[in-house]
Amino acid sequence: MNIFLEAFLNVLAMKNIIAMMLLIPLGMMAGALPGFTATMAVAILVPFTFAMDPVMGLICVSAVYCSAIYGGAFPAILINTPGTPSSIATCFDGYPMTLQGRAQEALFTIAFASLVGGFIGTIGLIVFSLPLAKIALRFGPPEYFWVSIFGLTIIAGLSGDSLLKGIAGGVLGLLISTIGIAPVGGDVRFTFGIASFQGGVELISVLIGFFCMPEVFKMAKDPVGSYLKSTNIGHAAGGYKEVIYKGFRNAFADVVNLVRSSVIGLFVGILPGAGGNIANLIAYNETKRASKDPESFGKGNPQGIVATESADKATIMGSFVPLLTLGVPGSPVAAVVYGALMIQGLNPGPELFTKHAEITYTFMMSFFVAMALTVLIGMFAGVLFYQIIMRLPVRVLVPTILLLTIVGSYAVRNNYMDVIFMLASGYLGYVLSNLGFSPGPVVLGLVLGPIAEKGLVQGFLMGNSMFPGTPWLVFFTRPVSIVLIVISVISALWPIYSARRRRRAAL
Amino acid sequence: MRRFMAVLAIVLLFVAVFGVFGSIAEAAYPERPITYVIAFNPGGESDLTARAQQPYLEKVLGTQIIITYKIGGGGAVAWSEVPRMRPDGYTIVGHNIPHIILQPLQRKDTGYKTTDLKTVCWFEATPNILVVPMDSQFKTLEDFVKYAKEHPGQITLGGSGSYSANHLGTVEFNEVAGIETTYIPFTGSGDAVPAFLGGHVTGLMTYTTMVANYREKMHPLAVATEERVSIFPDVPTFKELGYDYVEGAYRGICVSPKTPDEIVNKLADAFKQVNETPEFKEKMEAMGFQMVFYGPEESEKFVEDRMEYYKSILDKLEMK
Amino acid sequence: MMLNSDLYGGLIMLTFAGMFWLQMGDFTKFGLMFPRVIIALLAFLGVVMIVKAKVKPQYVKSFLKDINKYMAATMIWSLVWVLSATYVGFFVASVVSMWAIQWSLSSERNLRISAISLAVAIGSVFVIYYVFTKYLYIFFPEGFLF
Repeated sequence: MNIFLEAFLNVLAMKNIIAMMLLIPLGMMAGALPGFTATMAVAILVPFTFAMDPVMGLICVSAVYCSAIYGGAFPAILINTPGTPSSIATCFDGYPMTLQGRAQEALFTIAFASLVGGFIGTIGLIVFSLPLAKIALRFGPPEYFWVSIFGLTIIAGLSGDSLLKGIAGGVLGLLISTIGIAPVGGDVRFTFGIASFQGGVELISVLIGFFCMPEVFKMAKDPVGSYLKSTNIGHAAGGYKEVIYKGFRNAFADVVNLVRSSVIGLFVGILPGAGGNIANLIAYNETKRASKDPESFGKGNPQGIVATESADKATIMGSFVPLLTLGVPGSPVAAVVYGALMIQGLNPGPELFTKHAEITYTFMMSFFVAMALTVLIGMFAGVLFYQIIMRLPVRVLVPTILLLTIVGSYAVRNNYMDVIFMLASGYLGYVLSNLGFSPGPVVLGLVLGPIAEKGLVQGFLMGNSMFPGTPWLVFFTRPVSIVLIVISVISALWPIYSARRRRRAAL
Repeated sequence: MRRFMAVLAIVLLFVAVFGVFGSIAEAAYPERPITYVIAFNPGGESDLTARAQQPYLEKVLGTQIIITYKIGGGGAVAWSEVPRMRPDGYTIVGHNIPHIILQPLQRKDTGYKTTDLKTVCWFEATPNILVVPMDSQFKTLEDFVKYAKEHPGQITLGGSGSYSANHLGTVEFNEVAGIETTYIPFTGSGDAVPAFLGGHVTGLMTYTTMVANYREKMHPLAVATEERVSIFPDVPTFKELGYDYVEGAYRGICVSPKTPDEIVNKLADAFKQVNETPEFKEKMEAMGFQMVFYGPEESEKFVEDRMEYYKSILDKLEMK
Repeated sequence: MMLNSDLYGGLIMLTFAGMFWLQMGDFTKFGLMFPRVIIALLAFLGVVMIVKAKVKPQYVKSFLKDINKYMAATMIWSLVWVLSATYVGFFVASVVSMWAIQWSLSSERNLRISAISLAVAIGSVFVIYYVFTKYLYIFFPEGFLF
């Protein structure tokens, strides 16, 4: 107990609090800019931390990471654009809430959900680090393959009305994800002659294109104010206290959802190579599945955003489990932190818990404080954001959003091709969404494709050496794989089961 | 007409002024901050090296060094831009062997040719090293080779990338030892570590830097250098055990092909000075890097040699 | 006008499958494994959709009618913006496009609105430019002008 208390008090040093208060708004702005990811924000911060002592540096990292992920929800809710890939699923119910005039309610709902998600994640990090890390190690290539298959079964939940279109969209996403260098074999594939396609397609470009562009075009349709008109309903009704209370109630209305989503976030976060991008989608799907009223999801059910925003916060802490226990970064941000630790002379791994215990525990405890401060500042920032967006006339809002998204998609990799691709996906997304294809499945395919392919081909190589002649056995003969296969089958068959259940209930 | 002449005059004036400034800038290089482009992910070896070099470079060159990233295609995206960069020496790009040699040989449109990149210097090497888990049945390289001979294809070795130093190294070692091991590529050295720790691969053909980080978990069997590496004095080289296998990745700096020689030389000197600074050298070696130095002319020859060598290895590989 | 969404959807899927299939060069055995399956799957789904289009089609309202002059202006200008930035420079392209879009979307077009639009355009692009180049070291394409 003593170490924890001491570590916690360490966090509360004046200079740390001041640093956090300065960095959190910046991190939030970075996250709120579609295209600017948490990874970039942390990467930019890290050189500045070299001048600080390691503890303060790490505390700054946790502050920026938490606030950037939090900020990603703002554009997701207000303009249907995930500010970071961790907020993809937040769009699904967040944006409809905005269109129903419940934007403020949504913003406060995520505040409380994030707080709980962050807390559960931090407790997981502190208490269960070692056992969690051991579980993470059991995941080899075949297991990652099955994880991505499980991820793909979520397509059913995201397909909207047509399962066929959903599956086709998912497969399209998988295909697009193969552009670039093959994970095994090093072939350069599908570059269509464009040199920068060797780096593959940038997820952010497609996210912005698919989610944001169609909405921006629609906004432009009625510049005298359809967006503002519809979102302003109920804007002043009841004042802030009422809206905050509604948000609080939403977050805790279904505690099972809240806890389950946070745990999902924590678990997915510990898998190196999986991470925040899919945690929110999985949590969303599970909530929808467990709900008594799945039809209401996608139309503004606050439980949707409760699920996604608690999951993606827990993922933050989860991604540090492998880094701190094994010295293996569990996410791109953890990789940046890994580099920062190395430069500071701290070797990630068991040494962190022995030689540098105070630093490590202080870092872990700092997530409590960082998350709490983030939520606090976030509530104000959210309102500010909302006011700005609502006040601006559409004729100014449209080009401004375009400017920010163009800059955002460029800034990710310093690659102009990404901007062109963003716009192209925008047009494609517009056409596809009007033809009844939801963006969710395509994005899911895009995110899971690389994981699936790597798992498949690496697993095949393993199988070749373990079972010469029948390499495929390796995918079906490992305990963790079998568990994952069972989960995937249940998940895939679930829509049929629930449809039948509903029909029976309707009789 | 009058207006037109006035505008023309102003435009010409601007051009003249910039032109003058341009040439002055060249004379007193560096006048502005220099952008150091890293072709790989933040937190990786190239990034760590650059950040370690940064403060020393800034002191030697007397200007700010700004580190930016241009990630993708195993470095190809960044290197494909080099031929088009302005030859003023204000943008330097980190590059690697064997990547810059193998990529144009292997791929159809990398966007650059090996000879397009004007190498300023090579300043660092990360040799290949063969490691197994601490509790593995293989305690020495002999155990490993013996088992491999008796069970061809069963040993799996993870490594970073396809057609990379790790991959080619495994192939080269297989050839020299007369064994057959299966190479499993991962996207980056760090990516292979969980698989290694979880026992999903038998061992790793990885870089010395990885072993420096995971000393307690990795048991090195041999290192692919001419002489033993200072941080692992007990690890034999493949050569001393009878296998002529020396391989690894090299890191260096390149600039736009038409960059004037004075600027190239000035940069090369700066990097040389940094490399020879005792604290820097110590820090890097502790992390597992081997500091080497090839200046501009030596680099050209070095690259040519390596190109010949890799071409022959690739021909052998084609038969697989 | 109603569009047969399955027909067009299927055609789009087949087009993508085709485009990628044409790009399949000589891949290694491992580079080939995954994409081959995916392309085949996509083509198959495309065909299924086209069959469904005949058998049990799902019609959607034609969205082409939805595109009014405001939306069209925005779509066209965003295209011009993105494509011209590498030629005329990011700053100029952004200011011009932002100005043009605001102009197209204004209900009343007079000198005052035009001036405000220009100010907004220059102001916002300038702030972005400044923050990104000075603090984040992210530089924008320059092109001929700026």
